[in-house]
Amino acid sequence: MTLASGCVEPGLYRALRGTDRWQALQQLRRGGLDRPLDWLEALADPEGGCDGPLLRLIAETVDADGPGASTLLAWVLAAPSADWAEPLAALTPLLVRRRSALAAGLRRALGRGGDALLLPLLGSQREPIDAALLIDRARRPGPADERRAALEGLARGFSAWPPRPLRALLLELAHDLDPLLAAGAVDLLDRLPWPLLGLDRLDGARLEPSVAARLARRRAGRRPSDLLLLAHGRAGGVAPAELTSLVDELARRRGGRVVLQLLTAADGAAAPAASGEPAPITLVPLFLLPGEHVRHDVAAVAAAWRHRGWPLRRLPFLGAWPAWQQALAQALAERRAMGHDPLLLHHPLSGPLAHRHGAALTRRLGVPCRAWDGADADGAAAYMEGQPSPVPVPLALATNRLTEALAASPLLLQPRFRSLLLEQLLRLP
Amino acid sequence: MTSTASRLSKVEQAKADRCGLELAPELADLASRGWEQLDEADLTIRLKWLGIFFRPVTPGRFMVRLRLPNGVLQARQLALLADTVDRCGAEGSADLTTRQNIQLRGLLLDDMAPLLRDLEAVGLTSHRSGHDNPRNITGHPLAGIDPDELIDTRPLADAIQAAVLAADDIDNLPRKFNIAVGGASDSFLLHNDLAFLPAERDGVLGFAVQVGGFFSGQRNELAVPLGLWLAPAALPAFSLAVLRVFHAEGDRGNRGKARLMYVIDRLGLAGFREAVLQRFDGEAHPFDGDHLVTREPRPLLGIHPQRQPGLHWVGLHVPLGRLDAEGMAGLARLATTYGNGELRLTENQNVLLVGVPADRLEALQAEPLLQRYAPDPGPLLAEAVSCTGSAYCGFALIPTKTTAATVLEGLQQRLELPHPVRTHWTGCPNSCGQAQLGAIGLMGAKARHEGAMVPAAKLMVGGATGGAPALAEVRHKGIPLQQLPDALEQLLVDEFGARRRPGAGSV
Ligand code: SF4
Repeated sequence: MTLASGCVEPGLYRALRGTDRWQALQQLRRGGLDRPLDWLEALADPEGGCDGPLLRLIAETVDADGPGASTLLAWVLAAPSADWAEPLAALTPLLVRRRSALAAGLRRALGRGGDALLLPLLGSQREPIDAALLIDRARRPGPADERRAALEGLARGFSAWPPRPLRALLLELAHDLDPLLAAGAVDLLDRLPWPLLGLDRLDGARLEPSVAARLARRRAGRRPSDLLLLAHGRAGGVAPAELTSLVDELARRRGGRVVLQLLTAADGAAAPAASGEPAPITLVPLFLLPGEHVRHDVAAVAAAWRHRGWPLRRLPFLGAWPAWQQALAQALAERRAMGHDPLLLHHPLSGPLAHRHGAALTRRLGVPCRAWDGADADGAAAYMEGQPSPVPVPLALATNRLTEALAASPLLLQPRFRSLLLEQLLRLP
Repeated sequence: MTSTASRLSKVEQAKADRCGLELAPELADLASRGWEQLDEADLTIRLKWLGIFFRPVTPGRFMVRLRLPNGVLQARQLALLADTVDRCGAEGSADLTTRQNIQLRGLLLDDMAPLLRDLEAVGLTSHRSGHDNPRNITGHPLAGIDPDELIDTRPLADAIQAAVLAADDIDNLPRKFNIAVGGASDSFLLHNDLAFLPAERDGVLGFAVQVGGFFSGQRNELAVPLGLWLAPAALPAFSLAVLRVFHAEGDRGNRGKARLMYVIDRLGLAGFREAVLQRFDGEAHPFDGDHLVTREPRPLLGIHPQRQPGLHWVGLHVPLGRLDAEGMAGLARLATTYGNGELRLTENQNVLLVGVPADRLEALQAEPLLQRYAPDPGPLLAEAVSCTGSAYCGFALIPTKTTAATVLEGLQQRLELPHPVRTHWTGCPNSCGQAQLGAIGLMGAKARHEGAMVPAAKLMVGGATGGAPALAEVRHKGIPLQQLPDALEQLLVDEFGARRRPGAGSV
């Protein structure tokens, strides 16, 4: 046979077809292929036996970002899908990097009987548009090898996919009747940021026994994320003792880092207060009302931590947590049952959101809710005059000017609220 | 730039541009941004400085190769590796290598930053375990427990590794480099670039230095005596001196001619010795005596008494040198339940449990895991060594591991053998499975059969690893795999004293 281009040295070509093929390939590897696509003709020669290794050499030589790469892929995919396995494996030098043209070529070849080979390669390409396709193919009933291949595609491009739909899929697949698919889903849940967020939602008793055992192993290897508690600061920067004691207990019982960052009006979005290796951290805004800190500073603090490399998850401000609101309602109801007439006092708020929240709180708790901006005890006393049988209840988590002025206990010093908060924070993944 | 380099190859250019160790702090970030953020040289070359291997056969699933000086592994370390492999599900596995080492397969790039941290926490490292680096430092697998030991190689292998990893002027060698330390009369090490063989000088036990051993597609050499004797304490500094000569003199223009033996060819043995001594700040004595390695490596499988009275080592066969998570966790458990919590890896890709008291042997033998990892797998499987083959290696011409297992199991059923026979299986002429060292060596090839090219094995016979070492010689250029069982059966009967079992059919 003569190659059309005439660029291939006949002796070498003969050697490639004989028993000294490995040496001939090494010679080609060292010398390089001038015009790699011309060699496709040698590959097409049924007598040649110049299959995988030569194709691999061509793939290593062709310009991966040029049109030749797409031509090569199309050449391979033009064959019946039963013949794709070895040639596709040989093309991986081209497919190691994300190349949209090649991903499109792989996508176009789906549905021709070779999807189990194509889906992992497509996942390796990490094209964001393929997230939905891979998720759908893993979820949709179909041949087991194709669903597994779609999950493998998701694994190979793992960090390229949006975590929420991925987590939802994996939670579903963990219950799949195919134990391999279910096991793979549990292992991938374990790799998502905040793995316990997913793992803790699975009930081992409802899983296939080997998958349940896998879940138990994954859970055993995980500790909860670090916590970043954001709270009001006080003049002088000293943290109230009830806050530091909460931090100490949390650190002891969760077994991870717990960072307390105090915000004052002056330094709203302070830089991260903790040093050390960045690790997933959960930001908990310990604010009871959606004031300036909640509306602006929390986002700025989160951005500053993320900028320093900390993967960060934000929770809503404490005052919006249903369990917290229930506990507050219960405490106020008990006061009323004792014949008191409680009045919630909080520090002044600005902005429509804060006012709406105050109004909603009044409705939900059934007690009036007022802002107080007095600077001292006399001011507080004066304020209280004229209120009908009022029992002022400061809406303050930790000691501040208000609690001091009213000589009242902040919520964190009341066992009901402290244990509720502790319990909620201990449960965080 | 070196004295021999006229132009830098692609690999040399990548290494010169940036050291792969610099990628370590970026791993976590790369995991979240994706490995396509790496340039191709980072992905396929530089990551190997961290022991991370991009596998073209499974793009997106990476391999990590550790360093285990002298093949010593603690049960808690193996338990961590088991957990790592377990997290990779069906894709996860581990290979025992011919350098007493472990490589983990099936990992995602997302796993790397936490894994490297966890490895460090249990006293392991994967640094510089691949590409142009000094590979795992091997020693005698029975170091410290051998009744026939000449010298304990463990502290020496540890010290050489520590020196090598601490030296930042040799992190860009021209090619890979193998170092080994012998501790007994059966320490065959001549396939290493630098081998320290136990030897006496004036009644003092030290080491004779041999240099230049390697196998490749182009050339196969056993190491030759350098004519020097060293006290044990000198080994780390001397290793560095040799590495520095290699660093300076190795061929950076042609990777096919970059191994140490080519430097020795060019400088001459005397010139090479002189160059090393100029860089060695220690005592090396001229030596033309004999070293003490005089016999073939002993079979290590099964139960054997240790030097310590009442204790035993139990050698277990790991089929194909391949482990899964469950097997790894099981072996770690056996090591703590029955032994002293330590395991040893052999160059034959098997595992030894050590420190097993006599009164625990019976219970250990009753463990179900020993059905999988047998102390007595038969005379052929016990001594079989195999490279990775086509399952994971793009160079392979045959699937070495599965072919070896199928063929040898079949032969064991058909034949009775008076003694173990060492077979070495390698997928291509690169000879990672050291086919030239096998009493029988098999190397992947292609042969013409009934008009078509078919997978085949080149047959070599006569590799000797005792007092008179020799490389196996080629008997057949390519036996089609289909015909291999019959050909090997005849060879074993004719030359290795095998007898056909009565009534056994064809393999
Ligand atoms: S000998 Fe060849 S086939 Fe085997 S691992 Fe080495 S390069 Fe791959």
